[in-house]
Amino acid sequence: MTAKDARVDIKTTKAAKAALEQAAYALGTTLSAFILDCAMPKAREVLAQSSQILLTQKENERFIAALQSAPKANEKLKSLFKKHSIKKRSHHEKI
Amino acid sequence: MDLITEQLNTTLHDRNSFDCGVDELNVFLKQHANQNQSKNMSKTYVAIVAVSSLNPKKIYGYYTLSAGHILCDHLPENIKSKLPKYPVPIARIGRLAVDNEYKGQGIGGFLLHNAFSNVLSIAEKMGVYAVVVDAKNNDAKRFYQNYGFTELQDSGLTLFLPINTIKSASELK
Repeated sequence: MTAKDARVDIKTTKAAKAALEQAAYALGTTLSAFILDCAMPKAREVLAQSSQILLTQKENERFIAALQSAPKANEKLKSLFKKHSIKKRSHHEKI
Repeated sequence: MDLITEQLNTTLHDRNSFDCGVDELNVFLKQHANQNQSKNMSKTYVAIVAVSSLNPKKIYGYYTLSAGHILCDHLPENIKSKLPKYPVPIARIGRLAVDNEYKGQGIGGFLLHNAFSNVLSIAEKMGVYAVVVDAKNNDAKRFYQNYGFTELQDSGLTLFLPINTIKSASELK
């Protein structure tokens, strides 16, 4: 397991804290574990939907290098365009 | 089978009978696609047959498109100077799925080509550097890699293909 090396302090109302503690108690877990367990799936979902992708330095360099000299289209990609544009043309001919 | 694509319309397209074998992708089409579309988060395109007696029409496959950006922070100065201000804009194929009964008939390729065509016309009017896809599993990852997509993040399921590579393939006669 990864070491817990960060801290989250949350300010809330007494009522909210009591409700969270009761819910955690009902599940036999701690307040921290309860809050994290509830929030993490949502966080993952939000990140998957997010428009923003953050890269490490190494990944950045690879990405930028590929953009600066875009690789040639491979055969499969070329034939994808060939196949579907030919289809379109013959479709128009039919009409 | 002559397939065409249309933007998802819940009254014209039958979302309920769609089954691609991946729960998350089925649920997305049934429960979230329409809402994401009306909120302008992502647009969903469905493959249907041009002429059908069914009403609503059967969905053979679908994909989603949205705008995104890549943050490139810690770049060396010499690389940084060659590109415009960050973040780098991209087009994202968030999901792409084919109904189980119709797999192996090239519908995935048809959808990918359609997504590329859409992105190419968007890229005429808006800055787009690359197409980024989120593969749901390793099979999907291989599907994209066959077309030249490479990993965006180390050993991840998010892949990319530069827009210029796609553009060059589209311009071949």
